Amino acid sequence: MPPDAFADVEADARPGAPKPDPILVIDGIQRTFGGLTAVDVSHLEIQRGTITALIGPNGAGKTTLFNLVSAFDQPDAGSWTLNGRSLRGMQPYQIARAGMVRTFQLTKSLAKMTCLENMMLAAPSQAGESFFKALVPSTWRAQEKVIEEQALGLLERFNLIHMRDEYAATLSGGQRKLLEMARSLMTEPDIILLDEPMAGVNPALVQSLLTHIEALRDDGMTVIFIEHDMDVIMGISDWIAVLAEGRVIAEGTPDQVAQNPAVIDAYLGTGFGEEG
Amino acid sequence: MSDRIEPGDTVLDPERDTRILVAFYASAAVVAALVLLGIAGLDTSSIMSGALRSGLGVQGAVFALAAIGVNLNYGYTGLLNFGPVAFLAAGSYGMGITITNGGPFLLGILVGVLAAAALALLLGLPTLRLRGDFLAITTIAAGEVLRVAFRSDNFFSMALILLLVVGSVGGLTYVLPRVKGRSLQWVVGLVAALVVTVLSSVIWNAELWLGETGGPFGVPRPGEPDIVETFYNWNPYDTGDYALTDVAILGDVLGAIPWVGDVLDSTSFNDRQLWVITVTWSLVVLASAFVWRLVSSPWGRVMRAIREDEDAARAVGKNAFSYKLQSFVVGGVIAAFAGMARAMDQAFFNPESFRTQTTFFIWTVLILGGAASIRGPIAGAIVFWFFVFFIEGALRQMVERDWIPDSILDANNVSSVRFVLLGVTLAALMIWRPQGIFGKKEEALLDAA
Repeated sequence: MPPDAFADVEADARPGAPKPDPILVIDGIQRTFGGLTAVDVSHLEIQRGTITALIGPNGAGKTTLFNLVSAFDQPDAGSWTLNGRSLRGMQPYQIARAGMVRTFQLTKSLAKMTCLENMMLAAPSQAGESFFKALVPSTWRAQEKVIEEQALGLLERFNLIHMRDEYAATLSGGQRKLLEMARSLMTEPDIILLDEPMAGVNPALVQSLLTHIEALRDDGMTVIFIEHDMDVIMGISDWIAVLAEGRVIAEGTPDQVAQNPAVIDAYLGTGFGEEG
Repeated sequence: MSDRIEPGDTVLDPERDTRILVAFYASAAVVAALVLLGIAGLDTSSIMSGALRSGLGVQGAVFALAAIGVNLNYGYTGLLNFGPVAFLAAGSYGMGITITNGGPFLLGILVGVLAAAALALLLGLPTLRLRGDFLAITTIAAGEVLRVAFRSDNFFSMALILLLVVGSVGGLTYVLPRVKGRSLQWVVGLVAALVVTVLSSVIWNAELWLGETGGPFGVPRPGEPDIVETFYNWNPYDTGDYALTDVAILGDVLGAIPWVGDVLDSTSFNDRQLWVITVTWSLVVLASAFVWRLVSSPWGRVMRAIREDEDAARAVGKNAFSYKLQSFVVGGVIAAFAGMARAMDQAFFNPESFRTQTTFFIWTVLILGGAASIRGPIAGAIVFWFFVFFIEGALRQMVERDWIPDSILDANNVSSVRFVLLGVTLAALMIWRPQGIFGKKEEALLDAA
């Protein structure tokens, strides 16, 4: 657990509550699809070095919000900053380079590339990715070795090392989730957005995924994740933001959110907590 | 996704590679056909040598080169470029017009390359944001528009059509997904393009346009300087015919075998053809080495990632658009060399040299040989043109001997019918070996999964 990052905020847990050291700040982001307002977040701050869960009923706009901040979709209005730097108008690849990387709800593994290639692709600032340098292997061979070591280390950590030379298409659904997460880490991000990292993952693997996510946080990374499994959410999040109909309706620690009547109404249903 | 392939599945078993089997059946079919036709009394050695001359000659080399360019686009970047013929045209016209204006040969090549690169940028900037099939439709249209523009005697109307096509495509690209934001940018672009078009039409009027392109008459027009003079001045071969039997080992060993000797002896090229063949196959080897170097580097890894899933590449910080544009430019320049080589062989070209069927032949060669493999385009080109001319040679002799009555097939239609038969063969190949000759079976299967 991060040492009392939320000590002051906890007393003032309301939608849009300011954080002591926010890495990502979202202001007035709006996105409509025809007459439907999918996202309308007036203010949201994400504390650095914590695990923040983004929850809400189906259609609450969680994935759309991810798409907007990672520039895979463009908002109608609003701005957002990463480490104080505005990301508005940037392309997705620029945002990834700025230190914010995302995964997808429907896993995007590069099917006809091996796991190792999937990993090595994502390493930042590769000399051999320039057309002219690509023609002269001596300009990138050494870097390639370093990247390979790094990729193998991550594959090891995510229990995928035995699949290093297999096509990503041959992985199971859960393994693909792991691969995509590991690949994102190759970009050396400051903050990682995970869209339903546990969906479709074998329960036996979930525990190891959770351990990985906590390990990321302990390495100093910021994690935001979308999830539906309440046990998972309550188990690992330091902070929870609740979305409903595109708006942030509540924020707080897991305990606070679990007891918030608005959240219980909108999302958890009246039964939560009774089964223990 | 239901029948996903697991490692260790028998379908992935390299033991079950059908390459040798298909090669065996194909060779067996050729031998059987030769034996049957020979017994029936046809001149089989001339059918065989005609097929070899085409597969190993200029035809094979030019299409191998063009297919290498498309392979970089499609096989390694996943771009459905259905307009390679436009790049052949850009290369040919760029070079041809430079030379007929008195420019040196090497400058002609440079202009041809630059024209292809410019075309790739012009075509790519508005269209590469399109996905898959939309890019295919746009590029095939661009190829046709270019051919019609070269045939036209009116530069202004053609420029307007070009502008409308590029404009509507570009407009749809930007406007359809999201009306806000970029539409103003697009209006500015459209106005700028209109101004440039009007200005260039005033400066470069119809007469001048026709004078350069030769309209339907092509390049060079009668009275204009020869476009191949310098090229053949560099020809190191002495005047005469060169047969496969002149190649030491072939001639000494195989030449002694009765029928084989005949085939090798009549598979001959004159000194000019031999020079074009030497240069073009050398270009094929160079281009293959070049593409291999590129795709086996981190640059190629990004390309393959874009082929697999563009959004995944963008999500990890790769500028997919820039890479697609690079792929387009490099592939287009390689295809331009194919166009220039063909122009050297024929010493002439006109708009009809750049019909869409060239595009389809290039694609057939690529799919036949196996996309995303280095040897694929080469094998595909040789095999494709071998079979085309094998079938043509056999049919032609049958028609000449009246085995096939003129009411069914006359000599004028043979060249069309050969493609019908080839189509049947290709359909069979796609059933039994969908990945082509050198494509990786695993990859073709993963696609289906």
